[in-house]
This record gives sequence, C-alpha cells and structure tokens, in this order.
Amino acid sequence: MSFISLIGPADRYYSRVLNQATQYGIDCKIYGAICVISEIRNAIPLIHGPKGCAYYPRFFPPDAIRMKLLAERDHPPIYSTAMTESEVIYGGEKRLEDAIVELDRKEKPELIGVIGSCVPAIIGDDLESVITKIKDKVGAEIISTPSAGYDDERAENIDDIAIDTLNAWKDETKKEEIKFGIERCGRLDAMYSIVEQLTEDTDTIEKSVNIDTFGRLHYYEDLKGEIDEIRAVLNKMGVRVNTVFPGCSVSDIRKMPAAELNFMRRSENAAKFMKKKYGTDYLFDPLCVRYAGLDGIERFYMDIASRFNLEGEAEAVLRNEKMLLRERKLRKIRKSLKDKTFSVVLVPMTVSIEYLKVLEFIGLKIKKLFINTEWLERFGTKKEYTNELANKLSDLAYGLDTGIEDVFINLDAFNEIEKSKDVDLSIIDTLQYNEERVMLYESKGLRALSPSLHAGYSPYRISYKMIERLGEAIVTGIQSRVPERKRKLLYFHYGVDGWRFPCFRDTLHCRICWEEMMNIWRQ
Amino acid sequence: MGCQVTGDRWAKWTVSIPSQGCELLGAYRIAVALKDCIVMIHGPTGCHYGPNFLEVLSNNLLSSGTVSAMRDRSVIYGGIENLEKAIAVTRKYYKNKKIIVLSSYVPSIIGDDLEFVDADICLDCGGFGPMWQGMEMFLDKLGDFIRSENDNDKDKKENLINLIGFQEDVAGGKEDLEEIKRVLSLYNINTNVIPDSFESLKYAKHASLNVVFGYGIKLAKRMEREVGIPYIVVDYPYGVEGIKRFIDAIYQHSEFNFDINYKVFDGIYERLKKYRDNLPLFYEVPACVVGDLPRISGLSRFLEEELGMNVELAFATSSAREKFGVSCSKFVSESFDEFAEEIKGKERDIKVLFGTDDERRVRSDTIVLAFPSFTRMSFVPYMGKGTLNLISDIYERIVRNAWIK
Repeated sequence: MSFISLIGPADRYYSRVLNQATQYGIDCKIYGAICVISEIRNAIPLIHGPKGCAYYPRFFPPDAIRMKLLAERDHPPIYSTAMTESEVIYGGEKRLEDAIVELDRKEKPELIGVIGSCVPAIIGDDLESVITKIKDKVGAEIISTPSAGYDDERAENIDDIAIDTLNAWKDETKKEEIKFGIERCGRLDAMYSIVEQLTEDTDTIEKSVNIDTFGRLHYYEDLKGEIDEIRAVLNKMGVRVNTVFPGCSVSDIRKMPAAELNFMRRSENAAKFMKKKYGTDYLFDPLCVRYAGLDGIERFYMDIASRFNLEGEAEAVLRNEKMLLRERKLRKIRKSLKDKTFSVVLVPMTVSIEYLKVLEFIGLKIKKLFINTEWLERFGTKKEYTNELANKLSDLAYGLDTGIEDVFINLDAFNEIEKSKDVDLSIIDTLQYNEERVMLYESKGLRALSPSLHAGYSPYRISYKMIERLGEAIVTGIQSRVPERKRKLLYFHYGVDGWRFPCFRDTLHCRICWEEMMNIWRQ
Repeated sequence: MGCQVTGDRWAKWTVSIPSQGCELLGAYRIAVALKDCIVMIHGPTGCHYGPNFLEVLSNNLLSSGTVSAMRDRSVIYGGIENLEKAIAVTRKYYKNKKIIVLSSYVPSIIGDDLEFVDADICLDCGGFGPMWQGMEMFLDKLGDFIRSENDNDKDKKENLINLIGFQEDVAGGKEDLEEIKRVLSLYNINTNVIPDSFESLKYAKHASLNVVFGYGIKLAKRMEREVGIPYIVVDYPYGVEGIKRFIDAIYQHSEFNFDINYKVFDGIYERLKKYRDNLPLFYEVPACVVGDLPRISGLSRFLEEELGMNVELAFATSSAREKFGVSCSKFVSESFDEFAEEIKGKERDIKVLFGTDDERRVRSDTIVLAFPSFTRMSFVPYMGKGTLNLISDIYERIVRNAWIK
C-alpha cells in the first residue's frame, strides 16, 4: 500500500519524530505559542526568558499549518531575550524593550510575537506595558502572550471529554454541550492574544465568515484541501471567506472583524472576545461533534447559510455536491467494494459513529469492529469511562447498517490480527502508531490501510473530497499485493508489547512509569 | 592559521538565537550517561520535554527522563511535594537505579530546598549559564562520590587512566569512545570512563592520569587537589595524526611507562592506499565545521593538516573552560546570529559541512557529528581506524558536488 502523493518525506519524518518524542514527554506552552506565531506570515517569535527555553523548539518539527497553508518548509527563526540572573533581580522589561527594537531592525518582520516564559511570569515582568511603551518605535506589530510552562490547563478535566461523549451518545440533545476545556494551553492562549491585540474595527463585509483551522502537528492531513473546499462551496452559496485563521497574514487578522460570522474550532475565548467587542456572531465546534460525517458537513454549511438567509442557495449547492460524490465519484468505488469485507480498528471518540457511517456510505461491509481505548488511557482517561465508552460505542455500532457481525473491545494488536484474517482489508485508526500497526498487519500477509496515512483523511475534517479520496484509497488497498510479499521486517525483530503497541518490551516499565507520573501532573 | 577562542559572548546580545541549551541540558546530558541511574527533572513538564526529546531521538532505548511536573500551585506553595511523589513513582519502576534530581529555573527561583529530598544526587541547574557549564557542574558534582569512596585494593587496576567528559550522546560517539579505548588497550592502558556508571566512579581515584575531553576540567582540578591525580585537557583526536598526538600527550603525562609505537596505525594507511589517488580531490576543498569547541578543534586540524582541506568557517556552538585553537579562516564563538551572517551566501561555496542537526537546514548532506545529532544513524567510529569512515563520508560529499547543477 503506498502513501498518497499529498504526503511528502518531510511529513513522514516529522510525524515519526513526534511519535518518538511524545512517548515520555509533555511539551511546554512555549512550543504551542511558537507554533501559532509561526502560522502567521512574516511573524517571528521572541521568547522572553532564559536562552534555554528558545534552544529546543528549533529542533522540534515545524508547524504543519505553516508548512501546508503558508508553504514554508521550516520554523521562523526563534529568538530569545536570553534573561540572566541580573534580570531576575532587577526585572527583565528593559531587556525586552531593547530586544524588540533590535529584532525589528534585524529581521524587519510584520509581527513580533513576544512569548513570556516561566521566569518573567514569576518575577512579574509586565509584557503588555512594554509593548505599549515600545510600539511606536518599531515597524512591526507586536503582541504578547503568557506562556509560563507551569500555568497549563491541559492536565485537567481529562475525563470530561469521555463523560461528555457518553452523555451525547445517550442523549443526542447533549451533543452541543461538549467542550474541549484546554483554553489555557500555549496554543490557545496565543490565538486569543493575537485576536485580542491585532484585530481592529473595520467595515463589515456582508455574508462573510472567518474560518478557524487546526492541525499544527497533523502532517498527514490535507489541511489546505479542506480549506480550499470550504471556500469553494461557500462561494457557490454566496458566502465569502474573509480570513482563514491561522495560516494567514497580519493584515488578514486585522480585518477579521469585517466578517459577520466566525467559525471557531479551537479558541472559544477568541470567539467570545470578538462577539463582545465587534458583535461578530460565532459557531463553535471544537471536537467536530456537530459537523462530523456526511450529515455534519451538510449541517455546517446549512448553519452558516441560515445566518445569512441563504438556506435555499445552500440546499441547491449541497444537493449538487452530494450528487456529484454519490453518483459520479463513489459509484465506481462501490462497485469495486461490493463483495469485499472489512474490519475497522478505532479509538472511541466523539466522531466515531459518524466515521462508521462515512465508511458505510462509501460502500464498506464492516464485518468486524475493534474498539481500542489504549490511547485514551495513556493520556489519563479513567478505565471506568473508557470501558463505558467502548461498550456504548459497541451497542451503537451494532445498530448501524454496515453489517457488523462482531465487536471486540481492547484486544491487543496480535489478537486483533488473528481475528482479522478473514477480511479483505483492515482499516486502522488508533490516532497514533497507525503506520506501525499497518506494518504489523502487512508483515502477517494481511492487507491494511490507515485513512490518514494512505488517504490524508480525518473524520474531524469538513470535506467531501476527503471522503472520495478515502474511497479511492480503500479500492487501492484491496488490490495491493501484500499477501505475495513475504516480509520479515527488522522492526518486529524486537519484542513489542501488544497492548501499548509498539512499545519495546525492554522499556515497557519506562512507559508505565511515565503514565503514572502524568497523574501527578494532573492532580 | 589558528583562531583562538574569544570566550562567552552571550552578554553582548539583547536578542539572539541560542547556539546551545541551558545548564540543565548540559547536566542532563552527563547524568543520563550514568547507566545505573535514572534522571529526574524538577520543574514544569516543558523543562523535561526538550532534553528528553533529544535523548529519546538519539537512542530509542534511553528514556531515563522523569519529571516532577510542577504547575501553578507548586509555584505558590513550593514544588517539593510534587517532587517527592514523582520520586516515589520512579522508585517503584526503576528498582535498582539511583535517582538523580536536576532542578530547573522555576524551583531554583522559588527556592525549593532539595537537601532533604530522597534522591541519590541533587543538583540545582537553575542558573543561567550555557550548556557546557552544566556539563562541567555535573561532572564536578560527581567528585563528591569519588572523594568519599574508601580505598579498596580490589578496585585498583594497573595503568589506569580516567577518560572524562567524552560525549557519547552524539551519532557515532559510543563507537568513537570504544575505538579510543581499543587504541589505548594496544598500549596496555586501562581506561575508566566518567560518566559511565555510578558504580564505576569507585575506580576513578586509582587512575594515574585524568584525560579531559574539553569538559570536566573542574572535576579534574578537584581530583588533582583531593586525590593527587594529574590531568591533561585534550581535544577530539580525529585523524591519524590526531590520535598519535593524543597518545603522545598521555605518554608525556602518565606515571607509567609504555612504548610509543605508531605501527599500530599502519593498518589505516594500508587500507587507504587503494584510494590514494582520490586524495588530491580533498585538497583545498572549502569546508565549514560546526560543533562544540573541543570537537571542532580536533576536526579542523585533521581536515587541514591531513587532508589539505580549507576550513573556511568554524563555529563553536559551545565554548569550554580551556582555550582550544581552531585551524580555520574565520572563527565564530557561541553566536548563532554571527554564524548565520557568515554562512549566508556561501552555502554553495562550502562543499562539505560538518555540524549538528541544525546545519541540515543549510546543507541537507551535512556530516552530522556534533550535539544534537539525531538526524543521523551511525554504527561506526570516525576516530582511530574510523578515520577511514570519515574520509569515505567526506569523499561522498565531494563527489556528489560533481553532479549538482
């Protein structure tokens, strides 16, 4: 099975680096903030802190939004004010002032994003007052964002997403109550700071919308394709996309208040700010609860259309889009898949049911469903919730028209493969380590496919095109010559744990220790 | 032409791109080399993520980093409670390992007192010095355990020298160290590596000479004072002349006698002979060398002296307490910005670039041999008999240029 052409060597490399690096690590808020700044054209991050804080990030993978929407291959230069003991004693504001002036002269950026690290936060440097004082002396716009690594909310409420998902699955009306409570992470704090400090009052453009995108580390997803498609469909409906944020220029951000509507997928605080200051209404769907799957895509466009009284236009456009997908693009695909059977491996998430419905729509007969909660537990969701999630998803899956005969919960990778021997293709999405799982299947002579890796597909994306591409990849998958290849992969020469797949057995205790240690972080 | 190091120039800049990490990273790099220890960072998760990132990517089997995961309440009420919990979890899973705690900026500023923490080694790395100072600090800290060991005859080895501060955590570093030990063994010289393990520190005081690879000078001075072992500071012995010079230095300073016999290197010359006529291709080829000072000192000398290349630009990403000469036309010390200015526009003129992962951005075919170096997989040395591997990799770069349009 080959990778789609959208995925370049850099995407694979960066994705691999991240897989390795996140085994025993939680990144700093600074990294999230650097990513957001780097998603703005000609913007440069300036870390106000000791030099060590600015050293590591340039070795981390560059931001995927920057790569795909701004067509930049690498990070922007990451500068530091290199605070020392002297600033800890006397304050670092003067050093920051000088640094901003020097950086502006040296790099001539459009935006300097000042990222405050732990040290200035503890000693009480007032970043905003420095910016107010200095802004007339420099050509660049300046924003500041608080990014003290200890002030991090990602640790909390880790069970909430599971509880909310369960509630929504039990009661459809609770779907919209699901919120992803990570506003105080480095990324969202920086997004809010940018919106708060850069936007300005401007004339309204009728029937226009700002689109917020996400996926700073989603190297395998067609981030640009999704935005291009949304822009094209909205345009046909008579709605103009004002700004795609981030992945835009400083002037694009300045004119965000020109839009009548914000579609926000990450920072609700930013949306609330614009609503209060500029009266910009917003749609907020952080986990793609409302807009997942085919019905979700339609709902997304209809929600926007209804704000502008364009329901009739939208219905016509969507009818055409769906007809195009169903009748022209998927007809041939469905024919190829007619007598084939499939297994699906997934992690129970808000989008799981809609994802299965998409597979059904493409024409798959899913014979076996493997529900795997390892990823959720690794990041701290309690077993009682993951069990309940898996069981509920199992019940719901049996109710679909995909022909599911067996649902297996939490088999390890090796048992999962044993049970998959009688299907034509296994479709694997365990959120992480999909590549390794596909390798394991194929090394046993079984055909397997990862929707993200082989089709650039994500169930969180609002895109008909991605569904079509997933269908094409599945057809290629069932025709692959995997069973003829006798692979004896070096990768599997070493002992691998089947549950915490593909962790080395030799270092399994390190992984378990790390998982337990993260409970301290969460407390 | 030799360029002398101009010292730490950090203070000069109000804004800069750091060329090296902080003290914490330096200490971490040395601490994780102790195989019977587990290293914990006392600080927020971000202070652990960076060092651990570089560690895990360089060696998938290393994962010794653990963290006290300080959050805002720790800043208000102190972080010791978190640290103690983290130590308890670590002890549960790493039963036979000693625990090393390195504290970062945050606990250092708020004044967390590590004195009564249940760890085997604690070191405050919350200072604002550069990475190499952290390496010096942690090596110096190991002196506490060398001094406190009791004399024990069974730990004594004849003709023993300590090899201090050799950086094993770069691509090919372990292989280089093994090669140096092998070469020394040909002269019947036994070696004790610091850092290698906590356990092996007990041999250190029985050595008759400390050989310091740029970092560990404070420890060496301390050992000279406290246990009477003399020391020499050397750069990285690249090339045949480099390793000969290294052996000479040991010969001149060690108390035991051995025969200086350079015939042990004849094999390198013999194997190179079949490609002798390719060597003029190396002559006057412009090169750029980037890395820590002790490494680029030895490497530049090899390139210019033995291969006849021209090191047009050398950049010491991290300095050292010792002054090392670097054979080059232009030398930059610890300023990434200055290096970026110097290399700008010369990317195509420089035919071979030696450096860290960062230099891949300048030339994707950089020979990555200095920290950090996770973008290269290596199983062979570049030193001693590995000189042939290095020559072969340089040749590959030179020949590639013939096809670049």
